[in-house]
Amino acid sequence: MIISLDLSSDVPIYQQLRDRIVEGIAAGTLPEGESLPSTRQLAADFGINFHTVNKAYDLLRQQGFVRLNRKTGAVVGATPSDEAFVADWTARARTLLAEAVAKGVPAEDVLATCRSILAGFGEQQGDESS
Amino acid sequence: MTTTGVAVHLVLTALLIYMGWLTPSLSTRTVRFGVRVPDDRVDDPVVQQEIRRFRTTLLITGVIIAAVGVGLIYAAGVALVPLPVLAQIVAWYLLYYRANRVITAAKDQGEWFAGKRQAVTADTTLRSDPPKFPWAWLLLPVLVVAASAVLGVIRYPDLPDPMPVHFDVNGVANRYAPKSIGSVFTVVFIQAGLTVLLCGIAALVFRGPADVDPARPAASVRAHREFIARVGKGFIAMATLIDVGLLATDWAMWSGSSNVGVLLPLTLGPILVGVAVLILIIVRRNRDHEPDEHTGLSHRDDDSNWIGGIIYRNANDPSWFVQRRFGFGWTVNVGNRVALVTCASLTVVVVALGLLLPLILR
Repeated sequence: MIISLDLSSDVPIYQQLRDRIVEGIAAGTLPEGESLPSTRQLAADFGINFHTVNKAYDLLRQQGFVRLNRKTGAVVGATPSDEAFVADWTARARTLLAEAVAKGVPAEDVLATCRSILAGFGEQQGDESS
Repeated sequence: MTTTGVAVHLVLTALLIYMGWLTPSLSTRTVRFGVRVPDDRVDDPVVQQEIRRFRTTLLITGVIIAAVGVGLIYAAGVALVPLPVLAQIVAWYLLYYRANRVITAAKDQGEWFAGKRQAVTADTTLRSDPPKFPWAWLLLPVLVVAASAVLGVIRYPDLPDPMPVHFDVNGVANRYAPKSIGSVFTVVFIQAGLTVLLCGIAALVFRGPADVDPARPAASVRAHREFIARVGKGFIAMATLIDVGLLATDWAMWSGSSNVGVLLPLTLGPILVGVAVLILIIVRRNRDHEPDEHTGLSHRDDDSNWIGGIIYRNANDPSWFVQRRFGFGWTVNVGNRVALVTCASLTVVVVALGLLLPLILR
């Protein structure tokens, strides 16, 4: 999976890396059980500090998207969503949707965007398995 | 002998001028004379003008150095062959540095990176599914070295003791050494060492980090994979050809007499072909692949990590080696202490061995 980190963005680099990996898991470009490169390896490929990569991997492990294994390193393996996750995710989705509503984006457009993004993940997952 | 020296000098100078001429294609697309430029400035008029000026001056200096070199070799002998080569490399670097300064000034003045989204890009599949090392190709150099060793073993009983190890211009032996494994197989050991070194470099190339262009990552990764595969095979092919060239030296030593007029081309010919093959592979990259994607990102401006366009220093980058910006190859990250200390000690060991080995073998 190709990951680009926008250094001029306000979003911290470790957060961007975490976001891209979560998106990769959703899209199926990072399938269950796939090994992620080691922190040093990935940091060298980006040419960034390896603590940044470490922080992203730590975040992914805490949030249950990857398993950290002493032998194999970081492996993609999302834990199933539970109540706490759904509550937290709903709160964040609420903020995101509120932004659109506050800016006057029509409800149909918001729903259409959500649907097309979800369909995009499904589509890519289909491509991967075929 | 002098004629061969002049021929070698001319071929080397021509190769160097050719490589210098292709300086813009030796580095990645967004590095112009060691200056990182945004995606839309790759063909900026300043860059174009510097390429033209660089090439014209390089050609003129190259021809002058070649002519002076020929005169020097005729006047003072073949020992001077390395001198014009060195002068050529220095001229190449000075012209490169001048272009580097001009483009940097234009970039700073015009604020080329203002408003650009700077990014770094990596491809995880280069790690999870790395390009395959061409193991089968290793058979080629191994077979040549093995053939040389077998030939040596067959000839060993018939060799005189002491045996001739050095010949003068007329092919008459002028230095002898006691017959031993060390003296009979010296060149075979050099062949084996060079093979290990070059194939080791080939293996390292496969593990090296890719400098993925954030502006068009997919094409860039594809190009990297193809290039790595070609360069890996190129290094192995070069090792094979050098081994073949040295086999000629082996044979001369073991057959007891040598005709320099035949031996020198037989040795240097394959070596030069090997170098030329590798250079061709290197300069042919960045040629294909038209831009088919635009992410709106530009590679980050990392010029501050480069000193004089040749030395890389970035303490934040855990990489040991990065691709050079001048000429072709990889350079150590001097900002990485472990890498720097390891490489420095290795160099010291190799130099010490090079100085001591002749004394030990004698």
